[in-house]
Amino acid sequence: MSDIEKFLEGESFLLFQDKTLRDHACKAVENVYQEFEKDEYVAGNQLHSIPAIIQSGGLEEFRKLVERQKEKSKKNDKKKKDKKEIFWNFLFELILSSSPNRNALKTLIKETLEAENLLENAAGAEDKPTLNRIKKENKEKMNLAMEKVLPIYFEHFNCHYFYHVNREAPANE
Amino acid sequence: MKIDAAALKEVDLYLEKLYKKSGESGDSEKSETIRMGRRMADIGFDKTQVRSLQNMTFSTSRFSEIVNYIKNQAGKDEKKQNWFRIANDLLQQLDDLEQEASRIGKNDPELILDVKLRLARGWVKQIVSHYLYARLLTEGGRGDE
Repeated sequence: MSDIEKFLEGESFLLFQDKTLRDHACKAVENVYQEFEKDEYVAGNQLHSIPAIIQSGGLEEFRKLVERQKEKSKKNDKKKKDKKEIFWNFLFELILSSSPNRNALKTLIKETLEAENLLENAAGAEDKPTLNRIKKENKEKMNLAMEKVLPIYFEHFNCHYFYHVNREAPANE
Repeated sequence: MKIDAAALKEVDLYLEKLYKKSGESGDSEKSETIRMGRRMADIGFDKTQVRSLQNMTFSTSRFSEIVNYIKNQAGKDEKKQNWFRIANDLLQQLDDLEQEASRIGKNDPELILDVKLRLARGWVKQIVSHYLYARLLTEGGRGDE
């Protein structure tokens, strides 16, 4: 078993998923709550579909879902399309985007793996083939960790999201 | 599992403190778990709802599943008649347990995970006991047992 696999199966990563990941997902939901208008929230069935998608095809299927939803939003009527698109863009930035972003899940995973010395420093590469090898290996490790955390991340995200949305909604007698 | 006697003792002491936690008057009835059990009975929780929380807490291997279960139930409670009304307090109490587990477990992730679950199981047992007792008193008072 490789170092990364050992780490992902270990107790400290379980604790990470149980606390740090939950805190991150809850903070992401709080951002939706603070920055979005109520009609920018997505429908429950769209969010409920995410865990099943991840279970069936992991990160790749999730990427397809988000991109499909972003496209679909564009095809709807002018007013609504922008609203839904905002949410799916938000999810893209939160989970999938490669651009550096303090609030992104990838940033958290990268920092966690770096703290465990599991990612090699690309700055130390002496030549291009070495640099490419380091980048490829680091990317594989990141993907492995992302695949592992994604189902649990959305368990935290969805539960906190629906809890928050209901807090805002009037009682449905 | 490697939990040692010292950590087990700390878990027991904390749960005991939780049970006996008093208000200014020293009235043990002001314990958070007693109040929560009573509130659940007053609000009209079914036994099955309370038992579901207990069963889930005892069967899970992840503390956050308990947190997520409560949020999920509160999120579904569109009439805001039961779970929604107590979710915030339950989550605050779980947060306190989690902080206590980090203190007891120090920097040992395995120990922290284990202590969190032990505290949560002790906590839910107290709530369920008081819920059942409060329910019995209410039913007895109404004479509809």
